[in-house]
Amino acid sequence: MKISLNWLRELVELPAGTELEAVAQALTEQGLEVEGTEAKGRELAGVLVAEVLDIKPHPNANKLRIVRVRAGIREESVVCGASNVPPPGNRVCWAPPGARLPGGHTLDAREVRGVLSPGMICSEPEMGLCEQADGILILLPAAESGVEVAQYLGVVDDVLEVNVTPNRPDALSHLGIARELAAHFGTRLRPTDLATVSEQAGGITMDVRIDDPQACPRYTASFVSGLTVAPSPIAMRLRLQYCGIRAISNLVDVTNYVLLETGHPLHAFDFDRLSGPVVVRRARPGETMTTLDGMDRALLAEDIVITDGNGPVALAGVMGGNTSEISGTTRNVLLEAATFEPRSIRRTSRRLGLVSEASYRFERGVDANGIPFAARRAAALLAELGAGSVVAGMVDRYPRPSVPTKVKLRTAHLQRVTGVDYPVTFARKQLARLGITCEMAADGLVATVPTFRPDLAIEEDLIEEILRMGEYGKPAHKERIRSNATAQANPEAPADRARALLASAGLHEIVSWAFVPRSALAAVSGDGTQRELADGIAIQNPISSDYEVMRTSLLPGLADALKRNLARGVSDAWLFEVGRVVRRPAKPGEAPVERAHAAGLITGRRAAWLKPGEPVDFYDLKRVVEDLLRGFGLPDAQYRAPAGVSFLHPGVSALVTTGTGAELGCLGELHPAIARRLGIEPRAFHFELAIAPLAAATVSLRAEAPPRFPAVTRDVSFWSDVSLSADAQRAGFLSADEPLLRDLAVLEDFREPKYVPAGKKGMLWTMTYRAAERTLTDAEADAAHARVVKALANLHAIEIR
Amino acid sequence: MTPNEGTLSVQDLISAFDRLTAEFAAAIGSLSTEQDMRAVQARYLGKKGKATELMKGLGRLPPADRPAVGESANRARAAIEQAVQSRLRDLAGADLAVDLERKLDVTLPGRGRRAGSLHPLTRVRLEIEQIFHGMGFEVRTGPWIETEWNNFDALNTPADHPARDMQDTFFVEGGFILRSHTSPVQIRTMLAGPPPVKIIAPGNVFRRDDDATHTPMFPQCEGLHVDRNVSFEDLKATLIVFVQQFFGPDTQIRLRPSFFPFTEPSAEVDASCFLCEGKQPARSTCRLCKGTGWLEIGGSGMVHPNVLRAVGYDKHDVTGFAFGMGLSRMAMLKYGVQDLRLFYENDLRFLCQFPTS
Repeated sequence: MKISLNWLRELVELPAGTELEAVAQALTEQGLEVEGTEAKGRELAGVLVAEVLDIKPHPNANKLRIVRVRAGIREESVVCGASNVPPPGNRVCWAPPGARLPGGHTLDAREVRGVLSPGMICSEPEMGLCEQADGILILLPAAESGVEVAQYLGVVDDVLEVNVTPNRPDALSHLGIARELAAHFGTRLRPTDLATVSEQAGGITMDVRIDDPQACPRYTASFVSGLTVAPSPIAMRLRLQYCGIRAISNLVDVTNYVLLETGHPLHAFDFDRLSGPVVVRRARPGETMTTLDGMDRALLAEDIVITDGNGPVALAGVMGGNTSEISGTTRNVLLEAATFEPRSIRRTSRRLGLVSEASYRFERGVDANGIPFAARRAAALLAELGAGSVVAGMVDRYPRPSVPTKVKLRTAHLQRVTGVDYPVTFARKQLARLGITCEMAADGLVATVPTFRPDLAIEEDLIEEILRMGEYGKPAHKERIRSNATAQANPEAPADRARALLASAGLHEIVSWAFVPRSALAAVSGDGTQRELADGIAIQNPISSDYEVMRTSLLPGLADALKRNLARGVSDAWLFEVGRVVRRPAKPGEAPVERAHAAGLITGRRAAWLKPGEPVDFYDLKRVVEDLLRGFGLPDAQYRAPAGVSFLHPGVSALVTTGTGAELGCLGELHPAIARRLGIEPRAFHFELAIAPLAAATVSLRAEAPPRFPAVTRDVSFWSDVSLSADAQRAGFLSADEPLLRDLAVLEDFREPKYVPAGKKGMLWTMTYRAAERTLTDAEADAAHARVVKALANLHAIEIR
Repeated sequence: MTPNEGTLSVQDLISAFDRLTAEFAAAIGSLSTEQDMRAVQARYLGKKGKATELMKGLGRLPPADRPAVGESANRARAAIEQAVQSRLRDLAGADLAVDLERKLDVTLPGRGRRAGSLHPLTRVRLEIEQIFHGMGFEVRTGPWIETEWNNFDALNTPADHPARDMQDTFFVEGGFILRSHTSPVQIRTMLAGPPPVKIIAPGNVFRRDDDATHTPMFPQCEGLHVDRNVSFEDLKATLIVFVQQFFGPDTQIRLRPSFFPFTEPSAEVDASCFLCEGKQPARSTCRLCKGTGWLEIGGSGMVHPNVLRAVGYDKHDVTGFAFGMGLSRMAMLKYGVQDLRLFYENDLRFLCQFPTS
């Protein structure tokens, strides 16, 4: 909300020397955060209010005239080209030599068609006051000659952008902000002079009836007759403009001015277009109306409407109807000041997408007891502007009077919640600053809360008010950190462990959106063959189609990140993400299933020293997965081909399970067809594992002392069928149950067609033998090795080389 | 010389042993391995070695002369072993000297794959968790997909209340929403058991905002402490410890009154700017705090009685405080990151700057 500092100064006394920064700080400290300030009108300087003394024709030009002006004690003759120079005695704006205009233009004396002109007489656009105007600006005759125009019009101003939280409808106005400042500085509000209202007796009137007092607790109608629609004076227009509202005409401007000043929305109806009487009620099913933006609106029973004899004429608190709209020819006006049920206004305004300054305030709550003041203020302003006559006798229907509430505060509770032993007298003093009166009670006090503060309903609300006036900023009285009684495991710990392991394995963590385009899920799911991936939970109000469905896999996010990095010339990219995926629940109606996954996507070259390494392949990825699983205490994970998932290469992929067969996830080369759809050109390798089974399978770490006796190694080299996997060979060797065999590993998998028989591969294994309590002899090692090799040969056809 | 037994005197034998020592030293002078030296040594001291041959003459000497010759034999043995050791030491010294002449260019890079990195949002979350863990807060998490009741109603934010505008919400199928803050974790935790509760709830939250300073998904960390006599003073004390550990020991906090439906009283939390330290003239040009001397870091307050009621706690029995902060903002402040979008672009040239710690 934009607040004019000049306006505030009219409404509240401030201590001498209180400048913008002190005001902004006071409001911010009190919970009305000033988010920014804007200096206005600083570019206009030296332009003076000048009285027109005399007008003469220009000797050399028909359209120019020579105007003699007096500003204070200075008198000069100025050449002026405007057609609307007013007769002598009127006031205009004279920019003498040395005056500055917006745009950095400084005036000097110069000849205009042979006549020396000391400066110029200014129009509004020339002074930066509006975009466009016909002729020069004519001021009211009361303007004091010689005064700076900028000062006279209040052009020089500071506008504060105040962030008013939704609980403070009372602060949505200059008066509300002024009240806060009075409380802060301990000063008084300046009374608004309403005495200028001269009410004309016996004019127009119309009856008002409220059918639903809950929907409309109070409705007042004031009447203005003999309206002359005209622009409002520059000072008022300027204020509205500074506060972000476009000036339109005197009547509309006055309603907006009162809104900004008091926070009360007013609505003006063209009286002559109402058939009367005014009835406030809920809309009837099937009822429609045309709002003043020309839209036909279908109404619901939750809407509140203002009706005349012929049906709805306004959507209460939200927007007027086009049948009763004010126009340039409006002569008589019904001015509505009312209050409506906040909830209804909010629902209607949301449903129809109509949010206005008025609906914004109504849905937060407008003080019914402030209505007469606002109505009288509008009347006074209209009279002041000479825009029309106010008819005596405001019609006021107030079936549900709003009364100040009593809220009890117990001193003990105040002390318990704040942690400070405030005496009750302190509480009373603090509340008094805010205009809240208190009666003392045995165990505390009872506060009488003004009706403009609907946010103060319970004792905690009062506690905030007590603290708000300066106590927030005080440092904590003492160290009061308490320890915790119980300490349960951090549920995020396994995910964080995966992050640390993957980062130390050389991968970089990314964070991608939890929602993805549907097309990305179609791609990774092989167009739905992998159903649990394709069928994501939909967002019903996505920001865009990029964010339309919850991710079922981390692959789309990783692929997107990889694609971006490749596009930026980063060709070596080892990425991982640990985060949640969302899957459809087993039973409809249940909450979707969220589970944490760890996933990686790598491409590029292996590390080689001072030269490009080999391209990474499946086994680089597998080392990452192995290290991750080892880090979780799972050395015995199983890898089974094929993975049988849509997004991995069928021949270069595997399913990962624990030693007991629990599924963890999969790894492999990204399916070339899917890689292409995701926009990834180089070969990339992907894994995705679920965190929960990983954490569940974790075996607690047990360590053993290093062996005391030396080991002996023996190798074996043989041909086997290509199809006999390393895991199967290992199992064959282990079937010997040889107690001296401590370790075995593949040294070579040799498939060069030139040397290897068709359908075969050359394998080289190395075995480590050791006894726990003595040094093995060569003979013992040889015998053990023979048993181990025979065990494999018994199971599979191998040919020892 | 071939010793001629029977003709050798005591003196002859003694000098023969001495000659033997000198002869051995000359014999190994050109050898460079221990193996070769031991082979030569065997020719002198072995079963058929020269010294052994000389010792055979010992038996023919008068018993009174024997000890002197025996002593010289022992001296020769020791001298020969010493000569081997000495020669070995010389050789090792020469090898070492050669070895020590090797020189590398230590400015070339190390070999092997570099360690990866943790995302800055992860780093900052881990640091925050650690600080609060030290103050006795436990980590709790909850689902992203939530009920409106957990996300709003239980938090004193009924439907059709303007406070709902503060968080523009995503709706998902099945009547659920994406949580707009991690406060539902507070509700779930309190519903799960009686007080005391002392938790922090980090996690992603979702709001329908997407511009230069907002992302539709962002991580948050909230804290909640409910117990007997937990007060606003406790909140202040907790927050000051946090900012001093996170930003530095001289950091101050400023609380400003504010409004959140789920707390009363409520406060915005500012930390003093660690860059300019709030001091002029640095402050006026400080790009971090934009000249204010303060950094907005989050919201806080005393848990609203309606929230306590919603989870079945008795406000006459317990009170509590809650606070919350955006982790992206904390990471921006901590690492001097100017542009929020960098956290979600996943550009490795940015991410590489956050090595594992």
